[in-house]
Amino acid sequence: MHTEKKRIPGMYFFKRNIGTIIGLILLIIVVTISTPRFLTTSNILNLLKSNSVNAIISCGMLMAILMGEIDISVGSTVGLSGIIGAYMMTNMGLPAGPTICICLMVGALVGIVNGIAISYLKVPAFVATLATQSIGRGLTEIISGGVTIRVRDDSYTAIGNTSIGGISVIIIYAAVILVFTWFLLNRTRFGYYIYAIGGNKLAAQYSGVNVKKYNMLPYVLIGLFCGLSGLIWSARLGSAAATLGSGFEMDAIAAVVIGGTSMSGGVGTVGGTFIGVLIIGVITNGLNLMGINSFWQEVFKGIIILVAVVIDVVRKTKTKE
Amino acid sequence: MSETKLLEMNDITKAFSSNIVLNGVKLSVNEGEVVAILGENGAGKSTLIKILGGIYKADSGEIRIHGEVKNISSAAVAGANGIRIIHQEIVLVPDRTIAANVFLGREPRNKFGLVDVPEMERQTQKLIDDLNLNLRADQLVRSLTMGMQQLVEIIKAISAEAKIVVMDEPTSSLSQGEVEILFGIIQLLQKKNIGIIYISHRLEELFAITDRIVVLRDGKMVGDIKTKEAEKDNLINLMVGRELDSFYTKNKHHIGEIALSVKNLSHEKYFSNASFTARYGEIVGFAGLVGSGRTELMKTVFGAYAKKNGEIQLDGKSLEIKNPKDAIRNGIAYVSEDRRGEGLILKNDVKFNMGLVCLKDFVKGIRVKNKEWNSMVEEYRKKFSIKITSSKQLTGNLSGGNQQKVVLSKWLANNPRVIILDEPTRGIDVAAKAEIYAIIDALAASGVCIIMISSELPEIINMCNRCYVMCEGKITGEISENEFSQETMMKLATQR
Repeated sequence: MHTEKKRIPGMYFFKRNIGTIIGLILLIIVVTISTPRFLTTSNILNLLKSNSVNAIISCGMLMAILMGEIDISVGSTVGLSGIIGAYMMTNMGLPAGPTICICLMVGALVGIVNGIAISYLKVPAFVATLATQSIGRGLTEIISGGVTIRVRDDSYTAIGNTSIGGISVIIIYAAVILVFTWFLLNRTRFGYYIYAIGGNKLAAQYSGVNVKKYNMLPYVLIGLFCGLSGLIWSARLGSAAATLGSGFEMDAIAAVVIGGTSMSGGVGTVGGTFIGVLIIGVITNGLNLMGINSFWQEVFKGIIILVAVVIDVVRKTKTKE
Repeated sequence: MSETKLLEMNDITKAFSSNIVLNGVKLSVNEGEVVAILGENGAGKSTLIKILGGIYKADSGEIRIHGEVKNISSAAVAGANGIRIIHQEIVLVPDRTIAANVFLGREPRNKFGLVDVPEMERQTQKLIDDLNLNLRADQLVRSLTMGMQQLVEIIKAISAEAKIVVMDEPTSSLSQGEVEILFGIIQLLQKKNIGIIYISHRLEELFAITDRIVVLRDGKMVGDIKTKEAEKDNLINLMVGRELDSFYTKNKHHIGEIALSVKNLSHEKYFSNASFTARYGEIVGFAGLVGSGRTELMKTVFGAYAKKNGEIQLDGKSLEIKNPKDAIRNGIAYVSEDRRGEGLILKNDVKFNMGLVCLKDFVKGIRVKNKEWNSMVEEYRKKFSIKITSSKQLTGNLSGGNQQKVVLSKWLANNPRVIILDEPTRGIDVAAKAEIYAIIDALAASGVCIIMISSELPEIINMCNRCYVMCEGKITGEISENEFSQETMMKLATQR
């Protein structure tokens, strides 16, 4: 006991996520063999860029799932904050600075509503976020009037279209959020409490954790992440459509689950989630390069999720016996 | 009881990877015989039962029923051979009726192929009446007490043709009255020539109801004794494998000022007008039956339940406790009776669990003070001789005794002034119990005020300096140490 070896950095991460890492490598090998265009710097950067928003949202989704809950309103919140941002700029002539704040605030507001409903009013997370999803989607349609709103402010579109040393700034946002979430979950009391609440809410409460507060705050963060994502998307495209963000919750849930997070809460990591995001990304990117249409991509994603969960369940039942 | 051999399990051996859990175990049960299996946690009792129940497959050995070798390859095969296992945890569907639960999976059908509810309820009612229980077949299971639910499990087990009934700690959630009902049921089953395997930690019960006691230790059978000829000390020694010099630890120590004083505390539903005091260095017992309101009273003191009215004072000062956080800030700790449900985060490791109460000391800003945290874990591991391979071991994989020690460490790390222990030795094996008693005694010696809820009267008698008895939500008496006796306590616990 307590001859804890000096840890080799990354070793623990590797060991813990061995299954998903092998899965990712196999996937990369298959895609590389199928299409030579996959393993090129420009494609990899493109892959990272197009999955950055999913990485940001998945960080939020991870927190919800760690608490044994879920947030299916994320996609609609991305849409709502994106459309409000675009509307403010184009239709009301607001400058970029205040618009950015408003986008983030819209996200946080949805998060507060979710958090209060779930944590204080005890509405099951699925139901609460299903409701806000519908409300958000409805408002998005109303504000946009069903048409795409263009954004012409250069300082705004620069948020999504700048590169630093050949790397898109969007990738950097995602990296920052990933690191931020890692610190939050592994180096702060907030993170420890999220794991405790997800592992056993009563035990956490009886250990003096303010369960209501720490059950609510993650939703506010998720909302903020979604607000940021809405901002990034509308800036990158220079426009916001009513359908912005639809289906994003699926990719995020998929990434988190593939990354080894237990749907019943208490177990899961940012590292695993990141690998999950990459797996989803490689599948989409690879199938795109192979010219397989997006409907088939949905089918493949579904299969991968099932396989990931089955592997996880089998592994768990084995360790139990 | 006839001498006809009903069940024989011969030379049962089972290993999980390199860990030999059962080694050549032999168990036989005659028709109408009640055989106890006694052993510490980890002795192999549950593995043996799981092999009988078809959940595990033995590596070698044979199972005979009525002399015939049977290959019990699955739970379904076990069921078809008349083997019924009643688990400790209740596995009923709470929002369905007793009848629907009893016939779950084999509902009688009428001529249209639909479930014949009246027939189902009629048959269930007959079973209930045969056992002289005061239940109705169409009652919802949710409306029953835990004890009654346990009895429904038994009805379910014997509703289909049963030959061998295994009861795993059947009395752990029963009140004294319900235990007597259970014993009545067992005697009825005996008359029907059903063989019974009875697993319990409570030796008194084994003496009261069983015919023979089989003792397991470290996967081996170390004793097979007729209950009539068995002696308590001998059984404990067999089970533990060494002489326990002293089971209970009770040293004289200084009893100081009044620490906790509760005045006329009431709860909307569970208890009313509870008043009691507890002093520093004192161990105050709370005796009573399960459901008498002791746990709820203490959870209210701890802030987990809301009080209706009344006052809680600590060191003579009135406290406003709205949630556990307030209680903890004031130095009150509550060690729950439900270790797995309320005490530990089973999916998380030892270190995490031990640090949860005083996490402020170990996680500051974005800095995790691993050095301090690890040395705290190490300190308690040594102090309580907790058997773990690493501080990263999941608490869900520890034995009951080690889990309880982790919970105690978690609380003691916060230096509480008042510790409320709710059934501190429930589900813990004999050797670990003795260790827990020693820890409790040492805590009292160090001046901590200890309140101990226990449904095991010997525990109260041998550990406490004073005790209160509760019955149906009221404190019915206070007994000082020199007046302790099981009779007085039982009387106060059942008075109405």
